[in-house]
Amino acid sequence: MDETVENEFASVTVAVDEAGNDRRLRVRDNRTGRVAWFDALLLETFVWTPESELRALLDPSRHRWTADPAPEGEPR
Amino acid sequence: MTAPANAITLADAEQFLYREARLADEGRYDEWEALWTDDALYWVPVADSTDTDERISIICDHRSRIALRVAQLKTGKRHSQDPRSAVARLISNIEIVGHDTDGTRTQATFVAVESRARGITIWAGRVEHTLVQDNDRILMSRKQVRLVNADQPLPTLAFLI
Amino acid sequence: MTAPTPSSGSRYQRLIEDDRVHGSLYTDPAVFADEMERIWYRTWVYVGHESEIPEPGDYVVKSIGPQSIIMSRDRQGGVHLLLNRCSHRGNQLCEARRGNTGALRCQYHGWTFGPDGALLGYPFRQGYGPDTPKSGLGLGRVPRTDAYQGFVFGSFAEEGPTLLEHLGSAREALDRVARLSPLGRVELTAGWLRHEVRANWKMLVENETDGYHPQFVHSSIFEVGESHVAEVYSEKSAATARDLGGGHTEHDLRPQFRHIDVPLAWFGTTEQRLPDYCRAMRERHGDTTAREILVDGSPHIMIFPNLFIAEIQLFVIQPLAVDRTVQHVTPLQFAGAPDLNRRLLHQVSGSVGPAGFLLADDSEMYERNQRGVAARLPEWLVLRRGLNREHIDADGHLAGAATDETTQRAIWRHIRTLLTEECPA
Repeated sequence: MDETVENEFASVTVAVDEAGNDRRLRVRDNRTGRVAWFDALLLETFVWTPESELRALLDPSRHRWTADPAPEGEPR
Repeated sequence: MTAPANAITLADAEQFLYREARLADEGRYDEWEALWTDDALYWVPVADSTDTDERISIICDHRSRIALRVAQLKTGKRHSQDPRSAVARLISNIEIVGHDTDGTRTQATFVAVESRARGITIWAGRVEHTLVQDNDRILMSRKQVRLVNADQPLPTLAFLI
Repeated sequence: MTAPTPSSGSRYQRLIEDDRVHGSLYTDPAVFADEMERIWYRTWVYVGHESEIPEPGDYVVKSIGPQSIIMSRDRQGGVHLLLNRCSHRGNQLCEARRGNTGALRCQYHGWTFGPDGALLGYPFRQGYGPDTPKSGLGLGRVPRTDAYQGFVFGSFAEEGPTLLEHLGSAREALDRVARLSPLGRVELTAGWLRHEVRANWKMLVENETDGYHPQFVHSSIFEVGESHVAEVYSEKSAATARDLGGGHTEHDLRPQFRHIDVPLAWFGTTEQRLPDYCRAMRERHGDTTAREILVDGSPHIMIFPNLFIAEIQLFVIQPLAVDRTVQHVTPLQFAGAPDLNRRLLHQVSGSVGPAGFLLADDSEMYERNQRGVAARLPEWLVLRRGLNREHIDADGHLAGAATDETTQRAIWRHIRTLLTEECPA
């Protein structure tokens, strides 16, 4: 079932996706329509990610708003 | 929506809402209080509150507290209504939105202009009533007023909104 | 807009006498500007309660006077007071009044900050070159933050008295409030009414411990409702008006309720109506102490300059301009006391806020007082009531009868001290 998770800064829709061979989370950024999937191992990794690295991920220039070329094979 | 045979009509509902508004505007407190049923709820919530038991309300009066509010106004010593505010209110966009065992539910939009020494205050919002047929009269068992600015600091609101 | 020129301290020595104060103190924008600098942006000011941000990532938007303050909780549980202004171009960062987030992202240009105010980054960093240091570009922080019994205070002064020094004897009142919870914790979870008045903030502060007005301002509700308040604020009352020092004042109602000697009389109810709460209190404190707590009840205290605890509810006073003040009010709620909390919520909904049986009339008086005091003559307000009978009580506090102006004089003495002391530049 789709669940909206949002605060005043962002809005995403989260669903458990059964299309693959294992269940995973499908997360849609409601403001852009971009979608990403997070499997159990990836989510477990987030659980173990230290605060300092999560804060680094929140830097807008790190991935999303940057003029740096995207890593090979990645959409920007 | 299928109305029961004895349901309150839109025309009757409109007449009731106009009368209720006029009695409140004119400070005819006893006549206004007589419009309520014994199981009444007069509710003016803050912002998007949906539960009278979980969040504080601007007004949350069951029947006995409606009587207390009216009695206080009638003492002549309710300073915030002495002198009484001059109020003119428009009620419009009246719709019947449902009939159920509690009665006939209406929704409407209102604008009330209040004049006091502090100046003119404009109040506006959506109002929902639950109306019930009581022999040959119509009464209200519930009135809920959602002010457009219920999420903002409000000036004193001591007249019957 | 030009800022008023600061007045020298000697002006306030003249305008604030021991038993009378000058009317211009309520109406002059220059006085208000001095008060902001020398009182509100200097002394400890109450901001919010930790129970309003229970989870990591929670935040609420609060205030210190006209300043919008974000009170946030980081992932380690630390509480921060941040100014609600993006460090980039000054945009207001939070629009919602409360929320939960791992970071605050400005909607204007995307600058992103941690719950501690640190700058995490900005979009398109190439435009800033390698030598723009993020460390100096965090959000403004209230320089000092501290809490007592979960009540969070902030001070814009880098140095000065500690929070506990500032609270002095007033801290006991916060202990008394917490002790009314079977779990020892206050929770402010029932939402807020915000009531704006066209009056100077000091009229509200002075009125909170003015025991002389209830018989007049609230006679309409005393006449038609059941209330013990009229007796508490009569000449026969055993309650006292006390100067706790530091501008803090209270009505100590305990003598009156000990005289009545009925548990929960202070709340106008009985043990039979709140059996679960009373049982939980006896289990925590034992029969004797629980009974004492329930007889004594909750304090009635004005913690200078903006926190007013009035038995069953808590007010925060927010000055916006010399003649504009918002009173924020919420019912006190106590951890482990659902039956008490529900009754408190409904009683407070009736009493306070824009339509309240009590506060609508107080607020009417604030506005009339503001209009009245603008008159040129006789210039002064008289604060002599009880000068002839005040005394030092057993706790060493200056005390008068319940209807005396011992409290107003105490507030003004402290204001005069703050306005006349040399201010750090």
